[in-house]
Amino acid sequence: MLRRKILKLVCPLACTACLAAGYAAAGIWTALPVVFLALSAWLLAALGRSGSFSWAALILSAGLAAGGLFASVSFPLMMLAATLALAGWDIVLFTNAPVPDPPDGSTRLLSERHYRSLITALGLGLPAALIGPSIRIQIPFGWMILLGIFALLSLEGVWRRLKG
Amino acid sequence: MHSRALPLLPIVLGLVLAGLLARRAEPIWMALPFLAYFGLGILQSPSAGKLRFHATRAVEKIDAGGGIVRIAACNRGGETVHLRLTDPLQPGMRLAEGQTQTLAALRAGEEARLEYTFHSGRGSFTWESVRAVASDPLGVVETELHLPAAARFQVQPELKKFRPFPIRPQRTLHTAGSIPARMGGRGTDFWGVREYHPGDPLRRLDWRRTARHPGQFYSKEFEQEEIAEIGLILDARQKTDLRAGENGLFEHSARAAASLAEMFLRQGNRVSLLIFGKEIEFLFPGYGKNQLHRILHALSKAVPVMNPDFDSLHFLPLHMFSSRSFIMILSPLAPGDWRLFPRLRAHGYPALLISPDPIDYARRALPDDRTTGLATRLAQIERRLQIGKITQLWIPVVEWQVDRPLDPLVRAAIRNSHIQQER
Repeated sequence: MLRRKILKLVCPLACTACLAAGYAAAGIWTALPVVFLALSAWLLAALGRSGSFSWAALILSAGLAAGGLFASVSFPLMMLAATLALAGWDIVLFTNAPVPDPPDGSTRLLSERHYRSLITALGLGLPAALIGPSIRIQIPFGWMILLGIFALLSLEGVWRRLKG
Repeated sequence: MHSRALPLLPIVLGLVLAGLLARRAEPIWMALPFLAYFGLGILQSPSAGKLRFHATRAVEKIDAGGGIVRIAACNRGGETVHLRLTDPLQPGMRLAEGQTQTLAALRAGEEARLEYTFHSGRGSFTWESVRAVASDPLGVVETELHLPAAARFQVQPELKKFRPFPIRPQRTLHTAGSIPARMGGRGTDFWGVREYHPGDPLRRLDWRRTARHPGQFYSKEFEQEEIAEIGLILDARQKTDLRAGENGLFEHSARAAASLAEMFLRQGNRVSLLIFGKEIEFLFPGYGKNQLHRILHALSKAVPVMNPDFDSLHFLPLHMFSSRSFIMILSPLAPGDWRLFPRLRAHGYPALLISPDPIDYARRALPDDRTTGLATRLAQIERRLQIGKITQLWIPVVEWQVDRPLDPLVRAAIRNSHIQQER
């Protein structure tokens, strides 16, 4: 329980710290109020005020990270911020979920499986995303179009499966 | 299937599209952790066809107005699943302890438990199923299930023990009881003297009169005591249920009906109940504890509802009561309701009206100013006129301010009606 409480504060704080550092290093001070807004949303979400705060915080943080890429802010910092935003959002929602208090065997299994999956997902996604831009593969334009269509169809398939 | 992570997809699509439009790879790479999150969730999601659960529910009564709900859901499938059990409170319930949802990871054969305590007013609660959501560890793919777990729970109206009322109906049922039957027989109150009939017990001989008339014997008669048939009519029309705070006026009427039924049944009488609201619910006359249970069950389910077809008490079907019934009506009375009472008289029913005072009840919720005072006076005049029309028919009326105890008022009204009849 303590680990969850620490993580639900650490991830959002680290995310906003990365965003603030990235934008400050690039000298874009006008973005800092938005970063502060994201931080407020994270804190409200961490206090368990409402589920919509976690959504707002995630969208703001991901938007800032994506915006940073177009404003030539450090790519690793923005990448890290986006990943931490995803982790923070997940942990905040998971911490606010109703679990038995005091925790029993099933609660421990629940936490273990959840954290294992989250670490696996982020552990696969983040290094791949960080290393990816440095890998240069020349593929013909036709292949690129095909891959794009494949990606869109996959996303559409995922959407349909989730919508059920 | 649905997902709490469904709205993450627009972020992924937004990043991919932004990258494509700007011809830059970085936003697309940024989408990668989100895609990994989705992918892992989908890979670990339990297949809907293999989900097997068995749920049970037990509801235990803890006091007059509350209970503990215990739900257990067992994973009978082969996979480990994350299960969220949700059991929302029904209208009228208040959560006192615990929570109405829980989350657990269940291996095959393991069980998740949900327990909460609730309080409620009078009511009847029925559960059919419990909502369960099975998902992968990240909650990306969720499958909603409704596991059958039926239970019923009732909070019956509060009973007050009334002392027996001295009612004297015109007609009684020919079974020994405690209501004076207006005829000679076995009883305790002296009724008269008649000539001795062979078989009369010697201790009933009126020795004084026999001594004055040599050669003839006289027996004393006592008033026969029998049981009566009581018909309770409860007005459950929404328009007569004034609400001030949590409870409405109908709650008081329901409690009074329950207490009256208990008292009459305790005396051994036959009691029937008619609830006049959304529809006409009639409980046939009966005796004893079973009948009390049936009446309390009906009262706990009764809810004031509006039905234009039963707008006035005038439409009450009196033929449901036997001609020997003593009718007790519990109604705050709406304008025009007095028209029922001439019908009652015409059918020859002895009756008593217990009318919870809606004006006094509503006044407590209103500000104490001149407008309220005037409105109250006008409403009182209207009510007095209506009650006047009923009392002209020799029907005793109990005007009940619901914060006062009911049984002395009923007792006094019955006593006054006896005095009037003797005059």
